[in-house]
Amino acid sequence: MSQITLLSSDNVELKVDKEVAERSILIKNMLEDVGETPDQAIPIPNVNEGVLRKVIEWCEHHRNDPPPPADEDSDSRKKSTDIEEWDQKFMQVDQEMLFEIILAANYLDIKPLLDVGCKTVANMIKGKSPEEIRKTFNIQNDFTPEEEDQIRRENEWAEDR
Amino acid sequence: MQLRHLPQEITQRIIEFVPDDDLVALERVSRELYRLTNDPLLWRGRCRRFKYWEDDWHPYVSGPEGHYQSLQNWKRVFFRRLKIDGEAQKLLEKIVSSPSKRIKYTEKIALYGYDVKDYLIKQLETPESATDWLARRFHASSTLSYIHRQRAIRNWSTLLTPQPTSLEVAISSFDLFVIDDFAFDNEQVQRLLTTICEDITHSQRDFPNCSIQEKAVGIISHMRSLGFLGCSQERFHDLVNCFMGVSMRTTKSTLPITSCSIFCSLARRLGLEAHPCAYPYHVYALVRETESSHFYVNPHDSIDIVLQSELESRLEEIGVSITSENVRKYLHPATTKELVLRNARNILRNTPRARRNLVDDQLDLSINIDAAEYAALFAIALLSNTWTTRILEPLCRCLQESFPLDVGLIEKHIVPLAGPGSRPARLLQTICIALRNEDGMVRRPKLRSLAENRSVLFRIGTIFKHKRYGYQAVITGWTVNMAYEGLDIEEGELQKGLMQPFYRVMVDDLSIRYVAQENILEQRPFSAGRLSNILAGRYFQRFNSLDGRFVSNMKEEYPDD
Repeated sequence: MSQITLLSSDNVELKVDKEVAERSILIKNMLEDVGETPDQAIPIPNVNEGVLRKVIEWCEHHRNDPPPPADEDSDSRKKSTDIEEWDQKFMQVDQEMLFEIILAANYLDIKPLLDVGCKTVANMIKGKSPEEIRKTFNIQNDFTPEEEDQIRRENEWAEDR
Repeated sequence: MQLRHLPQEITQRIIEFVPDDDLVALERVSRELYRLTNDPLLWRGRCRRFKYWEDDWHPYVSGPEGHYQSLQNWKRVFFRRLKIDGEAQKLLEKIVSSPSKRIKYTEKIALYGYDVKDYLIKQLETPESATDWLARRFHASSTLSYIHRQRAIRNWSTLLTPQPTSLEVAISSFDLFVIDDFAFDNEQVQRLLTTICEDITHSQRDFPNCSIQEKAVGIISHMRSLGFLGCSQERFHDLVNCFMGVSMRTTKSTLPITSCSIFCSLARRLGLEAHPCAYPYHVYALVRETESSHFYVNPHDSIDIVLQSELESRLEEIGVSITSENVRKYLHPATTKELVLRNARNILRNTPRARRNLVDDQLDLSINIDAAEYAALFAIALLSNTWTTRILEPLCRCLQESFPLDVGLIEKHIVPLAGPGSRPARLLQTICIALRNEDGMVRRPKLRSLAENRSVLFRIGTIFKHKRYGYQAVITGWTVNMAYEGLDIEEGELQKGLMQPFYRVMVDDLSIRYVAQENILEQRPFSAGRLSNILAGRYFQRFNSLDGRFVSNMKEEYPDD
């Protein structure tokens, strides 16, 4: 099994099976363009060591997953926020790390990981009041009282179902 | 690193996963989140979860797939659909749980038309783990059937107005009475026709440059290559031939009127002017070449062009003189109304034979004959406004025996046409009032604690073998006063005569019969076999394999069973 080396933004080299690294479409395409297994470390400038290790851990666990289904009509399906058990445990990290993983998954183009990350955040929003959401994510309420009133009025028809 | 530092496209991705109701809280969090959760594309995406839309009742002509005027309102449209789903759910719950007011609640759901079709179709897939799955599927299906009949009738009603619907919609509306796969409605027929047209322009590259005659021939030869070869003499009376949609997706076997309807619908989509003509015994299609010239085709039988002179001489052969009036009648374009009536008469001609054939050979593709006959009767009553007993009597029978839910459709569309105070109107109204009274009534319970009912040994849901005839059936009702119910029982064959309980049963061929208690051999099978049909949902919640019996859904009438 051939291995490649990744270089994190804080200059740490991490060795990883080529098959595992290719869960990242970015790396996969890069390796395809080069044509052969490179001797030098591949720089991943946007991702630090801690995050990169997490991402690799995820890729290791999911190395044999079938490719995700083609995304042609994704918005006509109801999006489920179900997350498999291993991924749920994997995502039990602080918010800082969670958002870093999401950004890394986005940059490295690992769609299933990006989705797990986004679903995790969506699950944190589920069932909360606006004030609870603000607290959870440390968001300032920048509405004027008039604007808040306005929104409440706009949505009267959406309620009492 | 915090949520607000994420790039917008990622926040949007997160929002896509947030459940509908939670978006209302999310938009109140901050200005940025308000903006992102009110993105019209987000809501249009959610609207696309719904496949069916009732055009007439909202301004979005053909749902989120089609053209739309206002990008701003998708959110409102979406919540309206959710709200309607909620209403439908409440109403269906009532329909499933009690026999009272089923007509009333069905009418209420049906007011939403196609806007509840997605919801009801989902109910058809109620998992067998649900305690009332059979009943739920049955009532969802009968509500869907009602909505489709209502749609067919509305389509036909346009033929009485200056804005008649298209030929293919009018003709395929017969299908709406008989389909049980609700995906195959007349929208689907229209999509199929459009696909065939695309195939024609794809496979015949120079089609746009062809002459009109060549185009007509090109369309017919393409139809024939797809298998639309009309039908042979011995299959002429198959009921399926009268149903454009069913025939298009299955046998491709058609009557001349159906062949011509398909041909004309294709031709018009491809820019030709083509109309079926009401020629005696055979429908031909007229294709206009110029203002003053036209030719005929016979897509049912061949790709050849037919000239007016040929048709005229054939008319003379059967004794029709060639007057300008007869030419107008037989060789000029027929109205869609005439064609619908003609198709309805074809159906009525074929139903007695279909009933006979049902006994000898079970066709895989059997069309529900009662529903077919009802469609034809309804079309004739609606469009011809003639009230012979040959129409009125069977129409009343259909309404009473098979389609009591349709009271409102008769009251709204048929009674006013017959004229207030006229005999047919009074007759129909009497039936409607009786059905509505019965619908509003609370069922009188048949208590087993009453002395007179002590002799009833078997309960609702019991599966048994008929002692004499050997068939399997399930009990759906009982009575100790057979004579009062006025049902015809061959008394002579019974050892104990009429002085014993009788049971209304559903046989495994799905027919309904009455059986005397002495002929019942109780069984407790692990599986209900052919009895486990959606029609059993009319009486039962589910089959209980541990008990070997169906679970009754008629507690109001039979509280102790």
